Amino acid sequence: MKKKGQTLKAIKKNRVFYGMMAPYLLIFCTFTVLPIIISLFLSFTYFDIINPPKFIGLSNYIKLLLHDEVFLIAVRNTFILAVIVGPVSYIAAFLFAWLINELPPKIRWVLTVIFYAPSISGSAFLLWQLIFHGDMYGYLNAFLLNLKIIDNPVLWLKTPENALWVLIIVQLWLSLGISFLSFVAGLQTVDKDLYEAAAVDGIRNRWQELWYVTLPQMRAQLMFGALMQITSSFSIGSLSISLLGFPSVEYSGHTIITHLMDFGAGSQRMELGYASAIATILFFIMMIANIAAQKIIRRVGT
Amino acid sequence: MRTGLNPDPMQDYMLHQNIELLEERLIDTKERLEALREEIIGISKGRSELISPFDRMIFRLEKFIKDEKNIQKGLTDLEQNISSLASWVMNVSEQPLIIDSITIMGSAYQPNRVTTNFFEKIWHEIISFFGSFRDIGDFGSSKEVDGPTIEVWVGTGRDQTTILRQLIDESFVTQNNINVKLKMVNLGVLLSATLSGNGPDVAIGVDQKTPVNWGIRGAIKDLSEFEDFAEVKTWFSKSAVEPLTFDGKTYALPSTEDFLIMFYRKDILTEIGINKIPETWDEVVDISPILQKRYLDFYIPVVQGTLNETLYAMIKQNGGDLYKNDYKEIAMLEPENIDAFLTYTRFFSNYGFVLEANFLNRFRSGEMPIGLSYFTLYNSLAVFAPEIQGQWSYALIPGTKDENGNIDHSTTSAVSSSVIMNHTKEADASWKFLKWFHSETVQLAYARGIESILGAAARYPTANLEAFSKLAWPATDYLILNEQRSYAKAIPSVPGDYIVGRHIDNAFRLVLNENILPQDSIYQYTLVINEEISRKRKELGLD
Repeated sequence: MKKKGQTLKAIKKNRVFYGMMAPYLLIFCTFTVLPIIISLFLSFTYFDIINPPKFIGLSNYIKLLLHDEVFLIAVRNTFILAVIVGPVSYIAAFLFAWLINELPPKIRWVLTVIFYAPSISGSAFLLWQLIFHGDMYGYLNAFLLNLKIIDNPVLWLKTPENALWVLIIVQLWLSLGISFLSFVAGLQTVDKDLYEAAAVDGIRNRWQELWYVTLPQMRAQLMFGALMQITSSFSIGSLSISLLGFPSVEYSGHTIITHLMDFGAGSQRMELGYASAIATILFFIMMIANIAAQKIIRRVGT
Repeated sequence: MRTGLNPDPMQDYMLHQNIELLEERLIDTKERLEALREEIIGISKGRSELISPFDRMIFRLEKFIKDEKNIQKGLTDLEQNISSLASWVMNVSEQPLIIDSITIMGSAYQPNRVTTNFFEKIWHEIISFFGSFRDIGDFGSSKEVDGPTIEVWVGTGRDQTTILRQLIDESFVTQNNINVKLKMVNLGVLLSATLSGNGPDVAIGVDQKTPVNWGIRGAIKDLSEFEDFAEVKTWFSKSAVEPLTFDGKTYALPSTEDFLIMFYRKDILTEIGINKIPETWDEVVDISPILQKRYLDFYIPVVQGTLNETLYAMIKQNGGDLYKNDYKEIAMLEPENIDAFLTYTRFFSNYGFVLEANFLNRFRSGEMPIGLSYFTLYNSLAVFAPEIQGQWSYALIPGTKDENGNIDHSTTSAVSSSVIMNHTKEADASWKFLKWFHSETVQLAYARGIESILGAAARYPTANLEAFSKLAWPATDYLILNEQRSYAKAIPSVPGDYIVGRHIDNAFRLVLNENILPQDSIYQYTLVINEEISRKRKELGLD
């Protein structure tokens, strides 16, 4: 009781701050927290949108984890994508930011725009559709046909052995996004005096400088970048749909998100409860990945 | 046809020897174009965008005259220039005369200023910018009567909705004493709107599968409950109503019906020596070496992840059915269907037919002088490809011969439909509206209205048979369309059918990609499909 009293007192004392936070909190709760709770509840029901949900216990999860072969394909693809795209794009984002940081400000500014452009240009990735088009007039096909490397157009997006690679390439191209920007910003906030101090303390080369001074100084940006990168590489879905079609041939580009869409509101299957179960599982996968990333980043510079 | 459309830039085609009077003809054409260009400049008083197609063409021809090698390099360009000249002819001949006002005045009177100055222009832009925020999805009515009000959502374009509004105001409102609130809405939101209780009474322009899919879940009204439904049904062909029906209940009326026919280029086929249009699939196989020898192709549309229309037509021609056992199982393992599947896959695996292509463009350029497509392509061709006007035609799709030598030309049809939502309070008024909209006179007026605004490209493929016959089709075209329609077969809508097209396509791709036997592939996927269908039926409580 005493503790509760104290909390209330603390709230009362800081009511101005709570008041300032209220508008955002209200919106956040209604449009983010509430839907998550509802979706968690729906994952235990059978719900076709039109009729009221029926409680069916764990059977959605049982079916999803034990009987759904397509879900396994989706998990496999998502992990391949996440394991390749996540770290590669994370490291690439940092390397580019680091390189750019060495350049004079004007060039730095131009290059930042160039590297960041793919992720702000919205659906510009549709350009890749043209490049990988399966017609003999698709750019890549036309190019390879001209060089006589292939003698028939390849259906890049409709053959399982190529589809996933195309997806990885395009996603990498897209992924120098917000984490790249935060790295550029982070590198500029590192205190220049520290480098001097480190030199006095016996730092011998740029790598040591990077590891012992720069990186620990920008741990916050590294953390933010990792979270963004993990979330985006686990939630690849619309890219797969617009490049490979829906559903992709033999589920070659099927990810957890496209699997979810297959059952969700706009689909013909109309199994929203099942889709919610998929969403819940994805939520936990992402959470575990984020915790792991946090653990790793804490070790930076030690 | 000496070089094909994509000539080898290195090869010497010896065009001067092989084509009579090549240079003279080129020079003559060039001079005629130049004369025309001068004339246009004379009329329009100055160089404008009007002459740019001429400039480009003359430039191209000059290069051709300079060096024969340029011909094979610039052939694609030449072809594009021809199209742009052709559309120039269309545009110029259709150029409308716009009159804002006519002023009659005495000789001393100073006419009003007609130009705008800078500030007036800015003011106009500002007004129109803020005007763009207005909600214009709502088409208000000018008429109001004392009676029930129904809300109608239209999923097609603005012009269609405007015409519909006019028709409603002209006849429906006063004749039936029913008010209609008409809204242009993206029908993707229909489900969520219905769920939240804001849905309409009637929705027009719904796709083929939605009515049954939502109907069996109770979101859409079963129209066969209405007394005169049996009579209304006869307005449409059987194939148009079938995909909207499940288990004896019909959930929608068909608005449009489209089906596959075969388009071909008369000029090209005659030139390469194909004088008989193929009537069966065997004959298609027979002509394909003649085509492919000249780098030409026969087009069979393939859309990823859906049941292929051509395959379905083949199944029907073989006398097969997609489902058996009262739609509880798919019948792909029946001998007729396996045969159809084999024929279909063979086109791509053995005869090298193209899987991905833009048929409209290649038909126009002549690379695909023959192929299958929905007949609404007719509209696009009529407008989009004026340069080949009169050189193409269409025929029944290739069929399958039975033992007696009769050819079955069955084709696949697709419809769009109109539904009544189940939560409506004005069921009778909604039904009256639906009947009114799909009646012969209204469909005819609607189709003509659209065509008068949007031109021939928007010819409305109404599902109402009587109305269809009265549209402005050339007589021979109408006869072929009507004959093909009599062969039209619909793909039934059943619970779980989303999986059917998806996995039959997967089975087909497996054959192409992994080189396994079609029989094995289809067997494997049939098992998966049947499992999903029976699961879905259980879920819906049908078994």
